[in-house]
Amino acid sequence: MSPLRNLWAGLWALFQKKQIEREMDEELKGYLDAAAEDKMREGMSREAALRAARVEMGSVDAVKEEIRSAGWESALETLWQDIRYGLRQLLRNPGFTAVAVLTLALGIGINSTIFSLARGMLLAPPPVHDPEHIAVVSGGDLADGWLLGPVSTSDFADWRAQNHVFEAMAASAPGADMDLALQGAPEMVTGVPVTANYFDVLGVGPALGRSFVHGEDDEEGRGHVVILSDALWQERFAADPRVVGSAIRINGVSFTVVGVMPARFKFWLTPAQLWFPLTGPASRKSRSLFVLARLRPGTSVEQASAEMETIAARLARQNPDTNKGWTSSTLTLSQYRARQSVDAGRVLAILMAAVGLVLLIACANVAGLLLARGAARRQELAIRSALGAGRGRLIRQLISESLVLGILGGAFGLLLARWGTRLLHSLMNFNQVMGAIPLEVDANVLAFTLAISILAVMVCGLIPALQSSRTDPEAALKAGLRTGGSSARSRLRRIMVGAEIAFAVVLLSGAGILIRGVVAEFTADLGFTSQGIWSIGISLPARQYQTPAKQLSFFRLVAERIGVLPGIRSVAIVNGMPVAGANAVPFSIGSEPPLKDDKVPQASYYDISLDYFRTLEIPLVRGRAFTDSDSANSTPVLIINQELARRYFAGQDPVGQYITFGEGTFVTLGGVLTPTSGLARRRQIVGVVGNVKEWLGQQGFEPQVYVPLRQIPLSEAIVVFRWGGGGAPSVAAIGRAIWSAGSEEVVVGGLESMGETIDKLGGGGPKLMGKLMGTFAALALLLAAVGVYGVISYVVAQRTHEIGVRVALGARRTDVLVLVLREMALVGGCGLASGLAASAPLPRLLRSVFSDLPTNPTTLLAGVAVIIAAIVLLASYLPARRATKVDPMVALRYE
Amino acid sequence: MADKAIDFVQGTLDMLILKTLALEPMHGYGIALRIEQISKGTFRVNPGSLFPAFRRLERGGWIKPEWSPTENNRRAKYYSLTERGRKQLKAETDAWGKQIAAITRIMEAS
Repeated sequence: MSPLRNLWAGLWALFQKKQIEREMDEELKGYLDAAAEDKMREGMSREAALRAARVEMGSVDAVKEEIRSAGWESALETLWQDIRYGLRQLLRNPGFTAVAVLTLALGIGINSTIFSLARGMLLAPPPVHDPEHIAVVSGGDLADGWLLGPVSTSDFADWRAQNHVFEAMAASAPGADMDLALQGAPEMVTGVPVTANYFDVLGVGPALGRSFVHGEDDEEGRGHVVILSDALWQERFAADPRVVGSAIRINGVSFTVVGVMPARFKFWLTPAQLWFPLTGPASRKSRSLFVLARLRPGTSVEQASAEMETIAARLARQNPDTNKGWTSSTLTLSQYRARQSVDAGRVLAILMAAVGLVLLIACANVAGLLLARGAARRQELAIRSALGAGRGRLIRQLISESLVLGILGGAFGLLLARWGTRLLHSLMNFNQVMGAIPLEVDANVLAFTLAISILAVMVCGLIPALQSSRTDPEAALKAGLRTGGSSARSRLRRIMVGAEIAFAVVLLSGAGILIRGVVAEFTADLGFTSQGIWSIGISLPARQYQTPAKQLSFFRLVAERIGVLPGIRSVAIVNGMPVAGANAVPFSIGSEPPLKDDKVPQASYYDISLDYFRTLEIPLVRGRAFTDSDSANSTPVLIINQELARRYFAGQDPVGQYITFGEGTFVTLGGVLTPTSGLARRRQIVGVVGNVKEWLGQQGFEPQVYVPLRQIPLSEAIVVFRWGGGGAPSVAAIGRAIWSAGSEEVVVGGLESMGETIDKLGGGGPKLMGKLMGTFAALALLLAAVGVYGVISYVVAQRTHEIGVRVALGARRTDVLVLVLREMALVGGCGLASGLAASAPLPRLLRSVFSDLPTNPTTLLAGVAVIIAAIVLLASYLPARRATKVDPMVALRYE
Repeated sequence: MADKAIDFVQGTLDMLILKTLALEPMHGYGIALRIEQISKGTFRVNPGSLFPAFRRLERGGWIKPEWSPTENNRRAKYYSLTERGRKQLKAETDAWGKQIAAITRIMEAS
């Protein structure tokens, strides 16, 4: 049979139904007439002949039905009938329908939301032209095997000039918080410096205006031009196209807007609100560039990699001081992302597993509801079966009804997902990279939602359908409504509820471990009081603040001006925030400078103003803090932490002794070189302070040294203050205080609380994870409680008669309560036990992703067990109480 | 009458219809009558299987319907064999011959 002809004929039959039916009637009537005429020829009367012909044919409708079902289109029609029938059934039970649809929608909605996250993080193609031919070229440190590092400006220039494998190479520098002055309060935005050809290499043009042109990134070029992101353009410029060509002030300097990027350009590698040309002095030491390149046609990434390694090796030979041991690593964009997101993949796997469990619980609940309903519909199904519907037909009908539920659940789930993605996006905004992950309900998410809706229907519809269709019409019709359901049915429900409880235990344990980890991280003793600490970075233009004296007086004035603002307790200046990593400086004990050697002791180096210890509440253990008398002309002094004292002054009093720093230069966190020549001298220890953590999750402490800002001024520093007012300090007031202290070309960073800083530094990931897992666990608990409630209600309803008899025979209320609660004891116990067993590997699994989680979850699991047991008890007690109120008279009369 | 009628061997109804139509185009009752007459009443075709079979054969492109006037000047749906149908009939006849021979050999072997 030719499938095409069959398809066509089937469609024809579907759409020309009336004509087909008419022809069928006519044909059958003709058949009857012919048969009757034949019989009349044999001598029958006309009536007798017609009747005989009809009897021979049997039911005309049955024949027609058989003809119809000869084509495939009839299956479709049956499905449609079933769906309509199902819809009517569902509308007749709005309560059941609402609960089932809502339950499914919850389960499906969170799955779609997390899927859209997974898609955004792993699957979404980068918003660039022909991403397969874009390579990421990183600096590689052979010594520690770190191959995805940044690149220095001089290396980049040499790579660009010497390679033959790339059409073009572009670079971007790390984003900086910049002050965008519009009407009203200044706003902090993230600006990313890029080479002029950056957008050309990516193959993405601006939506409005132009890209940067050649020369705008020259040292002299200094075009003072800027390209805006679509988001910034929408939010701050009301999507006004006239902004192109106009001047805006960034960090007090006038820039001309030359273009606006399209909305789809959200590049997670370098998230930015605006871009400006990358300029700056050439350096081989300071590595901060992120390099992208477009491969020449016909050049493989392996060839490119080989050539780049050759060039890097040559540069290492030519510049041994800076490049010894450095290589390059060339990866395609997708390879690079895969390397970067190994952890992301694990995190997503955990999240998907969690929402999958929630969906399973939701399905189990809906399946329970369907089972209970199947019991109530025994008679209906029995009648249909008695009228000739086969078991397959009944199953098909029941599944169709579930299908309707699933589609409705999926549709509402999609609505939830739209809302969920928006919520998730706002939760992920704590750092730029997370914020740039595209999160939307697109065609892929739609397809995923449809798929899991149908899967959910299969999971929750099939078992009840199989169960309910197994009716013996005779028994069912005879029994009437009295016996609620088979014991197999309620056993099935109990097993499902047991599974729900187990899943909820697993989710709650996982969430608990994560949340406890987060709490531990935030309550961990960092060595200072982080609550109330805010910071803002400041960088001085070199032209106006050349001398240390000018720099010093500026920062003193800033501290003074901010200090008098209402709500500010105390202000200090420092070169780098605690917990945000630190610069190490080589040192030796005594007056001899340290050897130029890798094994020389190193200490983290902090350059601080007088009020630093007071502001951060770092305790002074011995000696004194810095005072006004520690000036440029007095004895060079320093303060060490307890760890340094413990390691290098065991059993001695360090105060009064000397430490000598090594020579050379090192990089500060702001990416600026601080000459340590002024440092390379002997300093006297005047005090010892408490230890402070240098990064999140640090075990133990590292040696730290503090030098007075007054002796070693900075051109770039962080103003840190303790805020005693409510809410958040005013950005505008602090900005005014800073600019009033000096030139308007002073570059001011973003104002952020210590909590925000910790989030940015990586605390935000586990925190978000904790929030998400907490939400999922709460949903799981709620759904499982609903499941338990449903089962006990059902048991009570089923056994009302029996309970009535028992009460009539003298059973007390507590006996009845125990009788009913016992139903749940075994199920709850099994669910709890298997859930706890399944949770055992969770701590190890989660620690593989989030390194600093508590190691011993025993008390936590005990807590989970108590919570689950309490909830199961409560959820069964509520309906069980109804059993104790059974009036024996009513219950017995209920027959 | 009914007691001596037997069921069709699975799948043979289609073949019998094709064979009947090989002579001339016929309408539904004519086909049923012809099969009953030629089988001397052994096979009685019931409309409930006859018409679905027409639908199947039509879908397969082996027969083609046409409304024409009957001998009594009524309109009836006449089915005729298509070229494909003729080939199908030949294939089925050959296969049937082989099957019968094989079955006979098995049944007669002692």
